Amino acid sequence: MKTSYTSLDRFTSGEYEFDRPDRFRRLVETVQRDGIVARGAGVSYVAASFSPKAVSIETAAFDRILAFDPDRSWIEVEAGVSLGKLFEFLTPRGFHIPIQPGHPQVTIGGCVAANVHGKNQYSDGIFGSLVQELTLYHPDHGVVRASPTENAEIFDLTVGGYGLTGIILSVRIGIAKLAGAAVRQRNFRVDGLLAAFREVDRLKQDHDLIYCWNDLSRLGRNRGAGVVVTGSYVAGDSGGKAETNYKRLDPSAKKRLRPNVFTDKAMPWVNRIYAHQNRPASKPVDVPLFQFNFPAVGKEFFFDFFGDTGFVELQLLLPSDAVEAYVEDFLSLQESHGRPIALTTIKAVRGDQRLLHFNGNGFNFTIELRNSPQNIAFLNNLDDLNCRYGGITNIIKDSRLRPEIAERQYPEIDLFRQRLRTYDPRRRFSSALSERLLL
Amino acid sequence: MKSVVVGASAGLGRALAEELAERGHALVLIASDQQDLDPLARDLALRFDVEVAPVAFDLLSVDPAAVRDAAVGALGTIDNLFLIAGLSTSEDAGPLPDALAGQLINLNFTAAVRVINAFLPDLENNPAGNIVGIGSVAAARGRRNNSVYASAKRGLEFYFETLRHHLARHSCRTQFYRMGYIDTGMTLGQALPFPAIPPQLAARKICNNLGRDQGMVYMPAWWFAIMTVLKFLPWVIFRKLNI
Ligand SMILES: Cc1cc2nc3c(=O)[nH]c(=O)nc-3n(C[C@H](O)[C@H](O)[C@H](O)COP(=O)(O)OP(=O)(O)OC[C@H]3O[C@@H](n4cnc5c(N)ncnc54)[C@H](O)[C@@H]3O)c2cc1C
Ligand SMILES: NC(=O)c1ccc[n+]([C@@H]2O[C@H](COP(=O)([O-])OP(=O)(O)OC[C@H]3O[C@@H](n4cnc5c(N)ncnc54)[C@H](OP(=O)(O)O)[C@@H]3O)[C@@H](O)[C@H]2O)c1
Repeated sequence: MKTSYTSLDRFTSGEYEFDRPDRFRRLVETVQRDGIVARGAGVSYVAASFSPKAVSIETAAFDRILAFDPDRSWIEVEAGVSLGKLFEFLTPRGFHIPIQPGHPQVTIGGCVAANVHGKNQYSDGIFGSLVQELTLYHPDHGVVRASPTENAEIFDLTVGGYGLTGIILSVRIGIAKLAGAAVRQRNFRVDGLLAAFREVDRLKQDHDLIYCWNDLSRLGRNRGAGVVVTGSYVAGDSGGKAETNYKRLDPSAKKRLRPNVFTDKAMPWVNRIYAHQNRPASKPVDVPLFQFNFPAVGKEFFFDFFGDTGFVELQLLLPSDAVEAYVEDFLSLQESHGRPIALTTIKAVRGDQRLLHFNGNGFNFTIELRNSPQNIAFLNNLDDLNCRYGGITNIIKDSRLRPEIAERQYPEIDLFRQRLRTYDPRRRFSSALSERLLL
Repeated sequence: MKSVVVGASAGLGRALAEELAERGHALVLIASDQQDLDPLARDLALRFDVEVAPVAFDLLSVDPAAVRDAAVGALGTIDNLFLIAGLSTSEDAGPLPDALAGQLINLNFTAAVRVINAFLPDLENNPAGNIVGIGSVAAARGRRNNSVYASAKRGLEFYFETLRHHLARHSCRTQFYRMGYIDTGMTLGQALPFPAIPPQLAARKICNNLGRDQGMVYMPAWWFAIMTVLKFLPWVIFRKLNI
């Protein structure tokens, strides 16, 4: 059976083989072949859960909550469950998942496989740190239970393994008590890119959540000015049912109206409007947790407004000590490129880089651009700069990342490849992403 | 309320189990694989704080009394019985392997009738009782496709007609649906000539109709128009249709 899929950045689209098993028996039946890959919500920016050489196994039916232990603060779920469903379950019970990417449609399988980060990686770490145990199905190994102490090798390869070790069936995740279902948000203005890095650095310790939005859509004075958004959990309105509704992102390649609104001329205006809407208020405001956790909700049009050719995102983990010099070189490279960057964000990060994990000490610096030959050339040039400063590119975000760049940036990529081949000599699981990066 | 959903692990049955749990029903969930029923039962019990008993039976080889005993053993008095399990196959268009023909007749007709029969003494005098059956629009007029399936569903429809008449002297009610396409594993990957509805929508409507004394109705209702046209199409035209 074929269906149309697109990566959310629309870089990779087409008709692909898929199956949507709704019973365990059918899942096992359909996985008995070479060339398979699990698919969660399919909202990754890159083609991580499909490929012309693989059958995508949609896991939507496996979305059940299996156990909940409020005393020991964990929840066990099937991997197809969405963050939105978990939000609805956990919030009224006074808990939350402390690390969550920005859209409620994302599944736990996707969070584990891409080892995602949330809004304060500096204090919370990456998703793998919450995973206490998982079960995995691989046609040659059957159902395997894995944790840091049991089948640790498989666990290590699966968390941040981009779905290449099998179908994650269930996951036990550590959860945290919630002060309330609201976030006290306070925004701070910054007048340039370097100032933004410094401000994020200054504020990162004191807030539960922190990120910075910057305007790089124009050249000239105050380039990179923006708003640092901080948040702290406070008692407040429970994120009740009405607030958890959202419009689903459509990861299918179906043709529909996608006006190319984010042209180079329009981008500065879009950024100006955004900056105005998010200007610092005189006092902090309380925002419902759902809205703060999932800022992309209600802005789904953003992805469509890049038109049919879509966009490209480069998310870079930049070492702290490289920031000053990097910003200067980056700005001059952008100057010579001369085109707007649609979206820019900065977050603080802390952790150890291993295997293919997007982790380390420093800053997460993200830029999103319209997909055009000029912008791709700019990003390819930027890759060299990034390598020189010891940056690493997020694999789950960047459709154009080339294997030679990944090899320069991820010192353990070969180790990952070797260990994967030892575990699965037939390399049954693959995706367009894994094929591109020769995993 | 206490409800038994036969065919609860996937598709419409699963959506119905979820809708009933949300409405506070205690549930017995029946399908052939415990590995599917257990996670569903745990999910519903946790999210909606209701009692849920997952019981695996293969309806193709089941002793209906065992199904009834398991359900009553788990929940006590039963109020609602939903016969949702069904089976169809693309091979059902002409001569069929005997075993497959047997399965189609058994699951879509015989097993359903026998399970109802086993529950009838418990249900017939229950003033809150309902027996709900799922037929198919395929049973509206005999065609070369889905021939055994449609015949079995037509048989089930007829049985529900008799059941309704029987229950007219009792307090239990019946509802029977000639179901159109539903977006489930049964229709996955098929090019359908008409839109499929989400199983959640069908489940909600079925639950809203509980308590009604209702003969066969189409779901969604617009299938009535399509099937009426098909039914009255003159044979000279109908025989040429490749449907
Ligand atoms: C609006 C938006 C905001 C985002 N914000 C962030 C953010 O703040 N931080 C961040 O880190 N990421 C973020 N992301 C990226 C997102 O978290 C990841 O791409 C995530 O992997 C998507 O999950 P998915 O369920 O859509 O998985 P898919 O896109 O379907 O798959 C992603 C990968 O997970 C694997 N996978 C999925 N399910 C399973 C399973 N059951 N078993 C084995 N492998 C599986 C797939 O094979 C694939 O390799 C964001 C994405 C969006 C759309
Ligand atoms: N889908 C449609 O478009 C459509 C259209 C018209 C009518 N219908 C009717 O609507 C009803 C529901 O259909 P659906 O699409 O939801 O079907 P489905 O997705 O195939 O689900 C059928 C359910 O019945 C169970 N079942 C099947 N065989 C069984 C057996 N031998 N013993 C016990 N349980 C068994 C299945 O679980 P296990 O397989 O794990 O046992 C599953 O829970 C059926 O009666 C069908 O005929 C469907």
